[in-house]
Amino acid sequence: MTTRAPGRGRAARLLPRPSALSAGGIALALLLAGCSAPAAEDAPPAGARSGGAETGAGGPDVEVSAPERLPGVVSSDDVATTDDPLAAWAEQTAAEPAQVTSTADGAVQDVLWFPPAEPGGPLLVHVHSWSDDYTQEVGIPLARWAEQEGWGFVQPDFRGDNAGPDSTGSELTSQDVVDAIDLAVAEGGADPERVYVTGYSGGGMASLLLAGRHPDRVAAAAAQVPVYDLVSWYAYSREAQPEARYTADIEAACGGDPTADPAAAQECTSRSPASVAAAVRDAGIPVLVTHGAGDEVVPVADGLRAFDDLADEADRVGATAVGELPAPTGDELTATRFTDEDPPVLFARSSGDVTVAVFDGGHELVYYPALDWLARVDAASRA
Amino acid sequence: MSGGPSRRAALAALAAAATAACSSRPDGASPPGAGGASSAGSAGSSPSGTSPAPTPSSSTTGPEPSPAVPAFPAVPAAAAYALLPGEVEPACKQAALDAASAALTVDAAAPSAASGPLEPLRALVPTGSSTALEVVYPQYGGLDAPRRTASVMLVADLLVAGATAGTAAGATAAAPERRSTTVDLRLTSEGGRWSVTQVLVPELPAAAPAGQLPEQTRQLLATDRVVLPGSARADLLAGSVHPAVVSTLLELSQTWRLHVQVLTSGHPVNVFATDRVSNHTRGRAVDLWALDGVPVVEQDRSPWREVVEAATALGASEVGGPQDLGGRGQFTDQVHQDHLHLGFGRA
Repeated sequence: MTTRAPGRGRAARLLPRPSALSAGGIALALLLAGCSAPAAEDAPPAGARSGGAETGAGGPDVEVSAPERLPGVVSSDDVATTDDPLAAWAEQTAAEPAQVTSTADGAVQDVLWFPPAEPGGPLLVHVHSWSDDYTQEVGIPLARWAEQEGWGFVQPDFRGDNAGPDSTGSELTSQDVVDAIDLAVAEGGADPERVYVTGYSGGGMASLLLAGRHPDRVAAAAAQVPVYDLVSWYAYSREAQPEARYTADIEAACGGDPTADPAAAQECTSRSPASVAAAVRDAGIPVLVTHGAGDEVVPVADGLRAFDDLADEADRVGATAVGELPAPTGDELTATRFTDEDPPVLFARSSGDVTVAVFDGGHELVYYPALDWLARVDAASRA
Repeated sequence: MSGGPSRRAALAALAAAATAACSSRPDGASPPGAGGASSAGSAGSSPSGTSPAPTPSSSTTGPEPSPAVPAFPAVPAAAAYALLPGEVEPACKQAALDAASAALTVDAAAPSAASGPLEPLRALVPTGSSTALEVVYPQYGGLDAPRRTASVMLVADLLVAGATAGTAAGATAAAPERRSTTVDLRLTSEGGRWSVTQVLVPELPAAAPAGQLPEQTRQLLATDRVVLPGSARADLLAGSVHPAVVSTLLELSQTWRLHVQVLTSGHPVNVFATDRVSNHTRGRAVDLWALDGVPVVEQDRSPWREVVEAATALGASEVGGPQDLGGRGQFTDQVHQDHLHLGFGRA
C-alpha cells in the first residue's frame, strides 16, 4: 500500500517524445509540457522563456523558466506499466538497447542508453528498483528529461531483480553499473566527472552502494525511498508485509534469516548502504534522500537513518517518525527542490553534503525535485 | 633579477625621466594634485571602473624631487580599501590584500618587497617606476569547506608613476597611469592565520584580428553599462568569450549596471580544489561582484535576486549567488556570497 498525495492523477501513458513528432507536434508537446525548446548549443539565449513567475521589482520584463515536466507526471505512481516495456521505451525515448560485459565476471548485462547531446555532457544513471530490471518504465520520464536537457542517459541491468546472491546489493551489481557508465563515457562521450545517479526503493539502495563503493565514479546521488539496511528491512518486512517477496529474496541473497543467522546478517550488512555511508560521507558526494512519510514498503525511518549517517553529528534527526520532526523552513524547502507541483514536504534538512526531504506520499520516486537537485549539483560543479 | 640595488633603480629612473619629460600621457589623465594626490577613486578614469564607493585616503608620497636633479617618481597615492561587512572569512581576504598591497606599493628608489610567493608580482612593476595598488574588489575564486585554503581573485588598479624630471622652476610629473590588474592569490590557513602561498598572474590572450569580433562583443566592449577590468576586456578582445555570456551581459545591462570581476583570465583554471575544468576557462561564465554599484556581498542592498532570476530566464544554466532561490541551475555556497556566477554549461 502506498499513500498518495492529494490531487494527483492516475497512472497515465506518456506522450510520444517530441523528436518523434512533426514540427507542429513538437510545439504542441512543448506547450503541453510548459516549456520551450532547448536552445542550440552555440546560439545566444533568445530572451525570456515561457512559464514561471516574473522577476521582482526593478527587473526586466522577463519570466523565469520553470523545470520542464511531462504533463501529469509527478512520481513513479503516475507511470503506467505496459506489457511491452521495450516498445514503450522505443516509442517515447531516444534510448536504445545495448549489452555490456561485466569487467568483474564476464556476465553480459543489458542496458538502455543514449549519449549526451554533445561530448563532455553529463550523464544521468537510473538504477532500477528491487523487483524490476533494466526495462523498468519508471525510467522513461527520467530519460525524457535527460534528452530534453542534453544529458546522456543509462538504465542498466545489474543482475535483474533482487532475487539471489549475484544481485541484491552485491559488489557485482555496483560494478555492472560502473561498466554501463563506462559505455556511455567511451562510446557516448559522457563526462566521467558528471555522472549522476538516481533510483528508488532497491534503486535507492543501488544508488548509495554505487556512491560508497565507487565514489570516484559518481558526482552526486539522489536516493529515493531507499532500502538502507537489509537486516532491519528484513525484520520490518516479516512483520509488516509478510505476503511480499522481500524476505525470501533477502534470505536467498544472504544465505538465511539475517535476524537469526550471524553469517547471513554479516552478508546482508555488506550488501546494505549503511555499510558504505562513511565512505560516501568521506568522499563528499552530494546526496539527496527523499522518502514518503506514508511509505509502507520501506519505512521512512530508513531514509532518516540514511540522512543521519551522512549528516554532521549536530544535524542528525534521531527520529523514526515524521510526527517527531519540525516543519521545514523556507530555505530548507528550497534545498529540496520540491515545488507546488510536487507532494508537500513535511520535513527537510541539509547538513554538509546531504539533504533529506520527507514528503506527503508513499513508496514512490518523485521525479523533478531529484532531477532539479542533480542539475543544481552539476551547475555548481563548473563554477 | 629586477628590484636590485637602488643604484640600478636610479639609472632606470633617469631613463624614464628622459622619456616622461618629452611625452604626455596617451589617456589624457589629469595631473596629480597637490602633495602628489592622484585621481584615485575616479570611476571614469579607471579601466577597471574602480570600486563603486571608493574611499580616498591620505596619500603616501615619496621624496620630493631635488631641484634640477632627475628624481625617483613618488609612490602614487592610492585610495585605501576596507573590507565590506558580510565578507566570508574576512581574515583571508585581508591577508590577500595586505600581501598584494605591500608587494605592489613600490618606491622606485627602494628594493621591491615582493619576494617568496609574491615574487611574480614584480613583473607588474615597470622598471624605474613607483607603484601603488588601488583595490577594486577581492573576490573569492575558491574557499574549501574547512576554510583552510582559498583563492582570492584580486581586481585592482595598479597606479604607475614613471620617473619625474624636477627643475628649479617647478617639478613636472605625469599623473600616475592606471593599469587594471587581476591576480589570483592562493592562501592557506595555519592556526587561524592566513598567508599567501602562491600568486598567479594571468597571461592575457592576444587580441583577435581587427574586424573579426562579433558585433555583440564590440557592443559589450563599448558600453559603459558593463564595467570590465582589463583582464575581462582582453578576453573579449580575444574573441574567446561564448556568445551566450556576451548577449546575457548586454541584456542584463539594459536594467542594471554590471561590474564584472572575471571572465576567463585570472580565474582558477579548475574549479578550486578540484580537477574539474571551470566553465570560466572555457569562456562560458562570468562573475559579477557588484550591481548598480552595490557589491553583491551587501546582500540586503544589492539587487542580486532580480539579476539571478533574470539571468536564469535568459538561459544561464549555472547561477550561483548568496542564496539558493530554487530556480533551475541556481545554487549557493560560501564562495558565492560575494558574487554572482553566471555560467552557460555544456549540456
